[in-house]
Amino acid sequence: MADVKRAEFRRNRYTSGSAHLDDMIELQKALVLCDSHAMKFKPQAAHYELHPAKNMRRVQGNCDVCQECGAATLFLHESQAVDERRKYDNYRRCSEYAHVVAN
Amino acid sequence: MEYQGDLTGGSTAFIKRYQVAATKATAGVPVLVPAAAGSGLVVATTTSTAKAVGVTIDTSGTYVTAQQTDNADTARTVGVIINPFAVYSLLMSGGATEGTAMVLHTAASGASDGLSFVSDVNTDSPEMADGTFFCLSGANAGISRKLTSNSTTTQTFIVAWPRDIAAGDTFVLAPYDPPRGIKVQLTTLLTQADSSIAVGTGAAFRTIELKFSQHEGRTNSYVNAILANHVMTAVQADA
Repeated sequence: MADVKRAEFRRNRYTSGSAHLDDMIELQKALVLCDSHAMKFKPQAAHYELHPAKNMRRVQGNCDVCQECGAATLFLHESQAVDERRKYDNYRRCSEYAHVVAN
Repeated sequence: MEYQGDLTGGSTAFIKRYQVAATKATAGVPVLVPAAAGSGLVVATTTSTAKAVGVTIDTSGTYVTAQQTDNADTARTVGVIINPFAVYSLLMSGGATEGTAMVLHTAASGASDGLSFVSDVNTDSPEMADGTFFCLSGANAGISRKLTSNSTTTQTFIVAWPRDIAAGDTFVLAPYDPPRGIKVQLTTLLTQADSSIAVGTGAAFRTIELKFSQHEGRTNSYVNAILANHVMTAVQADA
C-alpha cells in the first residue's frame, strides 16, 4: 500500500494519467490537455477555467494525462485566472484606443 | 509579461515543463538555461535575460533539494512558453515597483517650429535620448515623436510635432525606440518593464512596438518585445 501511495507523487509507469492530473490540480498548476482529455475534464468542478487570453487557450504541448504532444487546451486554476484576466482586459482596453508606435 | 503571438505568423504558444532550481512564485517571468552544475531553470534578473528559455505560465511550488519524509517527489516544475520568437507585452512601469505610473512631463514652453520644447523633467539623467515621447494632452494629444537629442530639460526632435507645443501640454516618455531598441529593464518581480531607466540599459529584448493608451497613458501603456537572447534561436553554449 505504501508503494502505491508513493507512486501518486511522482509520475512513473505505475502512475495513471488521471492520478498525475489530480496531483497537478492539487498544486493548482496550469493544465495542458489534449482534445480527448479536455473533453472529459470538468474545469468548474476542479476550480479551473480556460485561459482568459484567447490566444493562450489553444497551445502546443504535452497532455498532462496521456503525455501526447500536439494541439491542446490550456486551463488555469481560478486563483491564477483572476490575475490573468485583469492583465488581459487591461491590454485589450489599451489596444482598443492605443497609439501604436514603431519609429 | 503576457504572450501576444509569434513573429513567425502563428499564434500558438509551445509549452514545455521544466524542472526549476529555485521557487518560482510568480507566473509570467523569463527563465534562463541552468548553469553547468545547476539543477534546473533559473529565473532572469531585472537586467539580464541571457540564454532565456522562455516565459513561465504558472508557479513552481516550494523548491526543495532534500529527500522528503513521505517520499514525495522533490522535483519542482514550471510550464514555460518556449517559442523563440514569441512576442510578449510588458506594461510600462514608472519605476522598479510594478504598477508605478510613468513620469509625467509637463511642457514649460515650446518652440514655434514644433521641433523642441522645455519639459519640467530632466532627461539627461537618466539619459533618455532615443526614447519616444507620447503626448497625453494638448494640441498634439495622441501623437508620438522620437526624442533625437536633449539637454537637461530641453527636448529636441528631427521630425516636428504637427502643432506647436504649449505650456501645460503633458507627455510620457518611454526609453524605447522600436525596432532599434534591444534592451528592456524589468521591474522587481520581472513581470513589467521599468521605463524609468536610461535608454539602452536592461535585459536583452528586441522591442517591436509601443502601445500608448490615450486615456491611461501613464498607467496602461505597453512595450511589445521578443527575448533577444533565446537558447532556441541558435546553438549556444549552455553556460
